[in-house]
Amino acid sequence: MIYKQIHTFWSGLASREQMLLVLLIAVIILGLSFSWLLANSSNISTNSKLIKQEKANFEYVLGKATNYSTFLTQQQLEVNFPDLPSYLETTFSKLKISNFNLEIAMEKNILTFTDPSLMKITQFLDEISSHPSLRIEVIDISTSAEIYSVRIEYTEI
Amino acid sequence: MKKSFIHFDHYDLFEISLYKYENDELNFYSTNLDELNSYLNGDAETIIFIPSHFFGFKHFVNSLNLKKDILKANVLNDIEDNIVSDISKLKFVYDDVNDLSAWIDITIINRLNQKLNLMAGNFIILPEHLLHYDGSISFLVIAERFSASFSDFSGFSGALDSFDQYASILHQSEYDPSNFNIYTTEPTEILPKSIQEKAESVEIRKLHLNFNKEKFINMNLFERSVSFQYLKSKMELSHFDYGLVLSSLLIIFTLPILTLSIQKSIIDSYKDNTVKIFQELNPNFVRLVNPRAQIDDLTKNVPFATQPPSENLEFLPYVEKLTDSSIKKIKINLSKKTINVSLENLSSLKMRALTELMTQFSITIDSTNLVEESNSLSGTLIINYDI
Repeated sequence: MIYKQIHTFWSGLASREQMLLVLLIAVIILGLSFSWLLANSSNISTNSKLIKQEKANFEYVLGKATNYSTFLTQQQLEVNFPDLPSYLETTFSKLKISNFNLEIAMEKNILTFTDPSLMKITQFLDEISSHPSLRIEVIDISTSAEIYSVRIEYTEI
Repeated sequence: MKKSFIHFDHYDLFEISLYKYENDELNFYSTNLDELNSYLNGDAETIIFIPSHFFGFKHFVNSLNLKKDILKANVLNDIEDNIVSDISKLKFVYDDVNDLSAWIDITIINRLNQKLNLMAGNFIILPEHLLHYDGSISFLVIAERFSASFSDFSGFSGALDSFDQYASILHQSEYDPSNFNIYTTEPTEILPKSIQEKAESVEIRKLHLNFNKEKFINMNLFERSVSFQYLKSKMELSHFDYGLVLSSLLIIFTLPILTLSIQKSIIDSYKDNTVKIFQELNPNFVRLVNPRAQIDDLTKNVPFATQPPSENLEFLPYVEKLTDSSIKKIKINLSKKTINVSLENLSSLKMRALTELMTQFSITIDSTNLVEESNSLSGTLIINYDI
């Protein structure tokens, strides 16, 4: 029915009017498409800025939260392990490192142990350096027969 | 050279004889207008001859340089017969070179133009008698009809049976029949007896190849109107091309939507993760308004905590994986933030892999103290992670 009406309307138009109508419709379609693309392009640009802002906010919050968390961990460690050697021993036993030695030589606190995994050694360093009373100065790792011998010089604060 | 000529077989202007010339080679096809497109090359030129009796002609010198409708009205006003009742229903052309005006029923020419506009080629529509115009009175017998051409470029056509009748009318109009040139593309036996002897056989190919279209180009009745069908045929797109165009359009219109959706998901992800951080710090946290102000408020009494110095040593296990038995000693100086790795017989390949892998960490590698011996490296590798 609608098609018939459109057909009747279209047939009633002169060729010049038909051309004008086609042009008008083409211009409207192109105009709408263009404005739609333009609006989307503007939204994309706005969202890009928003992503940068949200990322910066996230990183800022994460930094502050990490600091907060580190502070809390350090406080807890200080409360739970006021004696540093006992903390070191607990950490060794937690990571199942048995062959360790704590000594004071030439006024330096020296910690030695052996382990076949550098991963575990890194984990150990991570754990002990969280204690606020301990400051690691030098770490020496030497290897023989796939076993790492670790020597750590540290100071008690 | 690609050129085609079309003559209509009947007065319904549908069945056609198509003469297609390509490098002087003639191909003849008997077809119709609906099938024409399948015979034509996209960019070829096609001259279409309409039997001249469909036209009205008048020799007219446009000394006043009249334009369009005024010229049309002036020419048609002078016509004595009353055939013309509504001049708006006539398609009118004026050839100012040959001082010839011509008109034809607009429905005929519109119907023809409509069909031709669906095709991509170049078309020229002319009265048929111009094909054999020779400056005097000439006749051409073609497709069981005769076509008459006069010195003033006007013409006429009619059924071959009526030739004698038409010739006698001409005779009464003071035209001398002995001066007529009669050409035929048909066998002379089918001609009226009166002209069988006088008729001269002519090859249609010769007429086509000698035809000077430029002389009559102002009479061209073809009007190209740009339509979707025309553009489609002009572009000669294959199925692959259509697929490509459609895909491009699809991409143009879906890409912004897709981009916006991805951006929204990234923004939401950052927001969600920020909220999660707050919830870890404070499980009762509900609403994120201004994250910076809120975290500052939450941690305002917390001093800056020194990060564990070993935090930047996460690359050490990778060193182990790649250097394995070559590592002899690792010395880490946390205050200088340097690591000295003593190596023995590390293969160059592993060294390259290690250097490549370390680019993802914030460190620099100094391998100047390594000595290469028989494709393996020994010495001290200095890693600086204070960057």
